[in-house]
Amino acid sequence: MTLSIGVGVGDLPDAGPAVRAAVEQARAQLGGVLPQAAYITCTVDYDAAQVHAAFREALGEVALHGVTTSLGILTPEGVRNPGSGAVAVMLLGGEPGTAFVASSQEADGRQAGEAAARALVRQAGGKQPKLILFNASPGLEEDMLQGIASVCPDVPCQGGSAADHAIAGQWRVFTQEGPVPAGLSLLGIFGEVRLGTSLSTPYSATGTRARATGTQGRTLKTLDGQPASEVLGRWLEGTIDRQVRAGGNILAQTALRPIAVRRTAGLQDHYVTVHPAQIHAAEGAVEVFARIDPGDEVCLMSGSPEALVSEVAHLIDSALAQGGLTVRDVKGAALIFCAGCAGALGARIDDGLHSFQRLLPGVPMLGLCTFGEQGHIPGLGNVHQDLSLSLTLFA
Amino acid sequence: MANRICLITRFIEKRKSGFGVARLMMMSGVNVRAFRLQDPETQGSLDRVQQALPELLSAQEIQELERFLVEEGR
Repeated sequence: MTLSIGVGVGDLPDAGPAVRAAVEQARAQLGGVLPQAAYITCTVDYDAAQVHAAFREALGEVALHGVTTSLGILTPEGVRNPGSGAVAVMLLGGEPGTAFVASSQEADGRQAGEAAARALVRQAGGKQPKLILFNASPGLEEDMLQGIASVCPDVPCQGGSAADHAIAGQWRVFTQEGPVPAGLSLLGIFGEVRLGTSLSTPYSATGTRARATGTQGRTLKTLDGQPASEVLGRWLEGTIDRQVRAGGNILAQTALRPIAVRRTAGLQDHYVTVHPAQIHAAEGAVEVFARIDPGDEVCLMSGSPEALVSEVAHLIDSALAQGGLTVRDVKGAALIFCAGCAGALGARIDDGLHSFQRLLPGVPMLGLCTFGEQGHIPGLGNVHQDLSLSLTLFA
Repeated sequence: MANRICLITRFIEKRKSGFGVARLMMMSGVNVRAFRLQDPETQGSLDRVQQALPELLSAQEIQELERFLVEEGR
């Protein structure tokens, strides 16, 4: 069983023509193979319902799955977003049974993960997927991954969380039925397809660390018994003093100096990177984009724009090695790039994206900017973290 | 007087494309595309947008923006 991959991007001002242009490009790359599923995305400059309807019209009964992207569409040539928005699609072609989609809008994350995973397995006649492309609204990804693991243990999940530009809740998850503001969509790949995956983060742990003593979901209240905002303010040496005093957005100031939770993966440490997003001055609390539990060791991380740019090439090499693939084997690539990293890099992100032209020339690539990334870490399983890059190569 | 968020958005779009405007939205948390030229100034949102500008523009570009705001804001 082999996969065929086609990717198309559209950035015309109206959603319908933009979607039709993207689908036309993607279909042309399939070489007559029938698409089994479509991984779709758009910026929130378009109405998500119009985008979904246009894909439905252009693709008929092909299964739809995806999320909105922040900032723009990532391509091997660079970021696409002329201002009026951009859409993109990856068509996965192959024999019937190669790919199925399932979704859930259960309010409980674990139940949502279980329900969607069960629906995937049911469609495949009880078979386990080789890989799950995971896309969800921000907030409950850790629980959703646990739910999936209870149904599909050891199946790697790769993906990213829905995003908008202004972190204003305008994101959408594209399910088969339509776009939803909160929920989970899965695209399962089945059969003897060859895949390579990687999840990476270009930061190093510093010696600065503290114990999480007060947390509630994705709100970090205290570190070593002190208000988390004050501790983070000291760690960042004055760069967020205004926000510590009055509250506010600290995404830009922490994109290259985030925090992380140390986990043990076999004999190695894995740092689950966490992006501090907002300070609530009155409570001294810090809102973050991934869960930190009481007792977790939290450390300050350090990175640079140069490391972010060069990480793309490392990510490609790592995914090729993981899948035992050569460049010639690769038929398509799905790249998830943290929106915070992309925002911090600005135009320099294009230098990183050009690594695809250099290392995987001619390979169709779909790239999204997301508010949380998911991937498989050997020894740890599927994880949700921030400020990361996640890559899936299809062979 | 013309709405300054709208003018800043125009300046960024011309210099940095739609990607730049999207970055401004992310850094400020303000949906800058919702502002029209004739809209009244919203000081809280304007403050957040102005605080985000150093993340997007060089010191020279900020000076050029200030000149642009004076010229276009009349």
